[in-house]
Amino acid sequence: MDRELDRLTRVVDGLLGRVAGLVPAGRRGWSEAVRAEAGEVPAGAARLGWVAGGLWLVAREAQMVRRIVYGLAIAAVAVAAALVVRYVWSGALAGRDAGWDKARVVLLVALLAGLPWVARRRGVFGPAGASIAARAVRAGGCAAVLLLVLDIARIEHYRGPGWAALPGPGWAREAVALGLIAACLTAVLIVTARRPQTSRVLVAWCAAAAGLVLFLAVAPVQVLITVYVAGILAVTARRSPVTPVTMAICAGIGTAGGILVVALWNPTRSPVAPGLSKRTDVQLLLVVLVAVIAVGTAAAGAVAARRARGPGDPLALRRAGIWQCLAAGPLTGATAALMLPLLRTSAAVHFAAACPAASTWPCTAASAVWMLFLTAGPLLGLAIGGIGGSITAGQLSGLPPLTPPREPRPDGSRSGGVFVRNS
Amino acid sequence: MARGSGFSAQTLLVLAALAGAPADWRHGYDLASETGLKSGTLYPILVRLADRGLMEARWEEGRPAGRPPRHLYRLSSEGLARAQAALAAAPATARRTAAARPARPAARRGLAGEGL
Repeated sequence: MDRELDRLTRVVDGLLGRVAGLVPAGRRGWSEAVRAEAGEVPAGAARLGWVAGGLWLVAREAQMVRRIVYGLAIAAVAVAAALVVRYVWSGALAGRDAGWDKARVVLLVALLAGLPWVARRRGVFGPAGASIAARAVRAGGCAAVLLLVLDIARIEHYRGPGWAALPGPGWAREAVALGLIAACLTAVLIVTARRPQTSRVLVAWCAAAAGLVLFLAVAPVQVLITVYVAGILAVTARRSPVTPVTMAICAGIGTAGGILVVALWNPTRSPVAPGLSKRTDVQLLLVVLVAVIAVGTAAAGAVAARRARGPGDPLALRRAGIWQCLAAGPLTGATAALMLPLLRTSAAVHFAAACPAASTWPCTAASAVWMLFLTAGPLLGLAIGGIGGSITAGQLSGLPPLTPPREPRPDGSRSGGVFVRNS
Repeated sequence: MARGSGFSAQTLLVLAALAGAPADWRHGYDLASETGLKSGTLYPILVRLADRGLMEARWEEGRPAGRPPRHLYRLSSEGLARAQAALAAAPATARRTAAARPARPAARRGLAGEGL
């Protein structure tokens, strides 16, 4: 047994020597330090554990876990993009809008693939924060969006020509919108060429906002999904002002609230449309969504306010509390809104597959409700977060100023806030 | 958890061990024996402390007989100040844990006496 352990220890030690090359040159000394001390450790399991700890050190320093996760994420996105294209191109799409639908899919794949690239180049988002909450929200959010995109593509795949078309502009209006986008971008180029002193950042933001609005007319689902991904990347970035606690609270309450909305939407399964109820009380669902956002914002605001009572610059702490409320509303709303299509699209796919030629409403209605929630969730959250932020600002302004501790009262003095020496 | 100081409980153990004899150069197994931490926990902490300039690290000089040179560690002046402040601010449980560490055998004391 001891001989086997010694042999295994030598193998692990040799492996440690080999994998040390994965660590940046300036930090390889640390793995050498572990190996140098291995002889001090009693032979057997203790020494094996010691050199195995060195392997873990190398894995950390070489950021191997991060590399593997990133590699898996890139592979997942690539596979999802391929599946989406395959679903749409081999599907039952037909009619006047089939070409536009395919173009929208290409646009969505391009947007999702290009967003991280642009973000990295411009330094807009950057890597995920160091906290577990930031990484979990980023990974979970992106996975949820990926699943949603796949399910939407599957609906397109099964949706027959007899299905009612989604409400939206016809090709003529879309062509006009595309022309406007081109005009907008051209105007930006002309302005920056003629007026070089114009702030480039301001122009870029104006162009992005105008482009976004115009793109909404052409491909609303695709733009919304892209905005969601951008939001997830921004909130979970290392430079994000949203704290891990706020992220965890909002993700938790938003997920629970979203599940509640789904449960309320479809209390019983209809035999005609499995997974989709005949009657959708959208108003009730919106009320529940508002309540969920309010709970999430209040919880995040309360935690932020409690933390703001610690030592530090009161103004900065107040600003931090307001930021948490402002971020908590949209974050909770977006999370809850995302749960609805995520948990209900599978049922819609099932229905679309079961009744490919049906010209009934369930999927169309479901898509309209998802769009409403995906749009309304963050917007309602922004409004409620603003209210929560102003309340938090009011609460924190009532806090006593943070002053240094009062010096001890001289002997014989009286209380009452004034030092009075007994003479 | 010693959240107030910004150091984890394990880091506080390492800081307490290093701050116990701040002039001494300590080596990894010595610290591991004193703190009870495994190498996979101890070394990442040492790396972070060195990265933040709280700890100095260097290789043992010369060629010791029968073993390879060791990597040696001690707190920098800033690290010592931070360690003392963190240990003073740490919750009582963390301080008790740090204080309850096994006494170091004389042979494993720091290497200050060896002229290193």
